[in-house]
Amino acid sequence: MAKKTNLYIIVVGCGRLGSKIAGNLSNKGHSVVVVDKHEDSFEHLSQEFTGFSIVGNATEIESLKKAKIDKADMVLAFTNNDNINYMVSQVAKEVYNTPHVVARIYNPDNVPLFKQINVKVIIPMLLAESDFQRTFEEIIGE
Amino acid sequence: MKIILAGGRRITYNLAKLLISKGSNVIVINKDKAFCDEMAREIKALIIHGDASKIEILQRAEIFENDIILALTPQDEDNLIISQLCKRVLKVMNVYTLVNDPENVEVFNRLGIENVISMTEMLSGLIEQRVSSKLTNIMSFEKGKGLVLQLTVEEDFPANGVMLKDLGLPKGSIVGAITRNEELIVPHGESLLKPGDRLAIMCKPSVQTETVKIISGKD
Repeated sequence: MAKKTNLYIIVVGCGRLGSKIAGNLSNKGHSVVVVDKHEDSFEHLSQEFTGFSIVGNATEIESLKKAKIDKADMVLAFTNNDNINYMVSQVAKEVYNTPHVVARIYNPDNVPLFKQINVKVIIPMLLAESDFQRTFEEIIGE
Repeated sequence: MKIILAGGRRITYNLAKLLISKGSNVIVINKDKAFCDEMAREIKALIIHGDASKIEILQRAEIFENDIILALTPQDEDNLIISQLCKRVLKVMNVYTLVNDPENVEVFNRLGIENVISMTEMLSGLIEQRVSSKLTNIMSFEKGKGLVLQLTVEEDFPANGVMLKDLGLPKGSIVGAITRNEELIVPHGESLLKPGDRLAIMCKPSVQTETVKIISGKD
């Protein structure tokens, strides 16, 4: 990525992961906007979060427009629904030409579809699997 | 050729019944077990219980490129992924997608899904036309590039007693037929419009409002 110190980042989905990442990025000095359809989820945000929050359903283009998606350097699709994350990712990539899009997905079968639209993916299942592998090696190595 | 109905409830049930009665080979995919059981009792179709937004479920339907698939779930994001899996992975050519949010029609078009149907937009369009003018019927063709409007001439219409050539209809709008006393007339420029004439107008959507206004004097 070109060195730009302050990025405009939209985080869709303010669950445990979304809120944590939004806090971290905000703390590093980036401009962060979080979008979630439940207002309660913003309670997950930590003190260090200084960005904006928008209540809205990310599958309605209106909510993404409110978050100024056309200006975003990065969009993180972190809801707990793969299909919503796919829709948000594809809209960001193909309608708004967002330079960087990262999605969290639960079902590894969906990876090719995300790769096809040039979206980076985080798959908790595979992360846990490799983590376990390492732990397992450690245990028997002892 | 098969027709696959993915998701949806009453619309799926009724559509499946209609299509089967016309001799189509229908497959229903639905994640609601109770609904699947009901469908299996009521209709003669292959019923697959599962989430159609998962590729392995779609693969069970053995969909071929020339099959037709309709994404009918109540969630736009589910319909998007079903459509994309069918188009991009299974290479199905005929994909029809239902959306709830009318703004998603354009969004989906831009994401490469051509046949998008918004019930909201269709219904609100119908209501607007009923409320705002004397339009009795409307039909679109060529994916909405052309419209056929039906309009009945009334006493107080500016078009009453005027020849077609003097109406000043915009470019892209033509009166194709007049029904007068149950008889169909194919008109020419000299045809004089009379009260009770039912006009069949073919026009582009861009000049629909102007056309209706010229004939009826109302928006």
